[in-house]
Amino acid sequence: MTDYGRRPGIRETLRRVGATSGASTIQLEPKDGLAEGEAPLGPEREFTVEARSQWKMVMRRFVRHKLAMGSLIVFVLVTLLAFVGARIWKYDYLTVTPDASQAPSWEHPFGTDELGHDYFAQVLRGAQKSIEIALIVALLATILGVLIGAISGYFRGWVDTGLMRVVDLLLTIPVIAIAACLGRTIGGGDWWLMSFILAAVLWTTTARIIRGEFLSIREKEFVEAARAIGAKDRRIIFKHMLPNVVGPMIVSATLVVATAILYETALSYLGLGVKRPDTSLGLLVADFQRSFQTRPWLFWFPGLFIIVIALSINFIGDGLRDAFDPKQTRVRA
Amino acid sequence: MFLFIVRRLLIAIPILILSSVLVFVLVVNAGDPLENLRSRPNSQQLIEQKTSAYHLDQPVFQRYLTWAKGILHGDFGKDATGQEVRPKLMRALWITMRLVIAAAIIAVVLGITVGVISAIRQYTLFDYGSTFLAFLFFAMPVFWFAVLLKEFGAIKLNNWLQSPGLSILAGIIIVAIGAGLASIIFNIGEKRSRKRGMVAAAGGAAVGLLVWTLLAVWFGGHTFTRWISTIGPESPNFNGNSFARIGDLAGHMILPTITLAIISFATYSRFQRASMLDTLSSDYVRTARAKGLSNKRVIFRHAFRTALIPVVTLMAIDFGLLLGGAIITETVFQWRGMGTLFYDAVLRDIDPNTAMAYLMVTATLVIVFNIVADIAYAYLDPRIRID
Repeated sequence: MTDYGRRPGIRETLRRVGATSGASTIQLEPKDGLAEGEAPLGPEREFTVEARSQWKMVMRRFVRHKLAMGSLIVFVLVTLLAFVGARIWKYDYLTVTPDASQAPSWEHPFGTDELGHDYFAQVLRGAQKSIEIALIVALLATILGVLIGAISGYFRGWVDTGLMRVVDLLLTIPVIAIAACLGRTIGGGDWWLMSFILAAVLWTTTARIIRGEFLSIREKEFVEAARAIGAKDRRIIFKHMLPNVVGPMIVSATLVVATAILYETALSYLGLGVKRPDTSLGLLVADFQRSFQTRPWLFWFPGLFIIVIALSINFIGDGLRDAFDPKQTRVRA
Repeated sequence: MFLFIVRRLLIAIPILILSSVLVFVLVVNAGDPLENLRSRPNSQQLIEQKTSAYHLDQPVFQRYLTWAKGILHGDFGKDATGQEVRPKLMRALWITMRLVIAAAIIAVVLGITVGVISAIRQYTLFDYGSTFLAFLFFAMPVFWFAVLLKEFGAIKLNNWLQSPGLSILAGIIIVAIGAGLASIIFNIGEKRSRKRGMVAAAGGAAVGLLVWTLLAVWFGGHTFTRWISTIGPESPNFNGNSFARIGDLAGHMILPTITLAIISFATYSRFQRASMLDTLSSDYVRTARAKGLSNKRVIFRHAFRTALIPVVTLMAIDFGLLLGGAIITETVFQWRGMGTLFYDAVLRDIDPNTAMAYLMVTATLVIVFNIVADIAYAYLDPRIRID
């Protein structure tokens, strides 16, 4: 429910606008004998407030969402650590050091595995691969899913029937089973191919959700109004309807990121994901799952990295969802 | 409605056929079934034998027709060792369905309940807690979680069951959970107030205290068997009455079911929360409130039904996911179910008929679930017309 108690008054709003949007707006410095903090309340002042575009409002709401911003920072830091930190760090993920099976220390923050690989370097390399795979899969799957879902929900009829039968067809077979068969055919090991396979299978969820939304939105008045004034199908879909499903779209896109990371893990567990000597977080967890009793650091660190990455992406998605939906945000812009 | 179902069933048939073709092509190309034979001393003869027994020299399409003819007579063909697939499949099916259905029920019931409550109580402690938990579950690799479960849910818990006792800390936690749950459950609706919440919390705390005392007394001097098991669907050579047998099955089922259910639970609770929030802020809910309907009626009669729609779509998809997830879960917990059957057939040795049997059964189950979901979809949303 809306928290009206937190809604800023006109004076507060004016001050915020003045504080954030540069020189083109109102001066709030005390002048003409006004006391400090007291806004000038002439009518011309009120109407010179700059209009905000939808994206600006979304940005503002997102920036004020503490958890989402915190997660964004965490995610950026982890990504930087994985992509930049791995190059700076003194060990390469392929370097074999003389210290085998060591517990975490200053020399090896995450310990070493039984061959003497520095585990910190390994985990960072794994994080690189996992982030790459997850983002590629999510991007491709969402674009494909939204397009197909929107088209079939909007046009209905035989287009809808045809597309949804394709979705049904893909959904009849478990993702892991398809990926296992395909991976077996290709021989596995190529993570590019693996992410394409995953994207080619994971778009269906998004498509069905978007189609459901479109089916219900297309009956609404504003769509009818747009059609009545002669808007073309493409315009109605992209300009009128799509912004209304951005919430579900983003929620499912973030879910796909998390799902993709987990599928990568599962495929590595089955021996079909990234192959040694290259590594991914999933492969590390899969390889060292039996080390829990003896060398727990090999088990904990890659798992925690997966959790941190997936968690922060999900929280970012949640923040975006709140930011996109003007109806139910706690943080008002 | 009857016509709708008939039509859906008729559409399902070509999908099943297409699916079987797709799967057949996938499986046939997944590897060389003669691989293991090549290194044998009398390889030439063995290869010839196998080639003629499984029609490996024929083109794929013809092999498909032979296979399909068999399926129509209920014959799933023979596996790589020359045994009938069918009995093996039936055993595995029963084991897997037990696991998947239990996990699905747990995930749906818990997920929807938690989702609805956190939407009604948006931005409360419960909402943040369940959101965090759901996100945590999304973020966990299944067998990473399974290893933790084995360690803490099985080994440590079994050790504790040897000489159970409840500390004061456990008591405090139970009382806190009781108070929290009561204040959430009994403080919904237009009578919602701080005072009502306090009274409910106090009542819940009292019940929690009672439960703790009873448990502490009951546990005193008892020892239990190492009940939670991490291997297989049941104890081998178990003898005992049927009551003890149910206990044994439950002890084996608990951990795999939890493992399988957590991701689904997280999905359901997130989607239910999101769609419930959407519905709650829609115009017709405001109208219902404006008419003066009670909060309970608005939430459960007006909002809840509509909010279920996206989740119902999810259910059909999720069933397939659960079946897929069972491949991992069964491998981790060493259940000889459908998942293991498929794993062995595709990834250990190439065994097309067994893999096909798995995929066809899965496909049929998912299609049936989809039809059920479609019907539920139409039933729940009056705006969607069935013609």
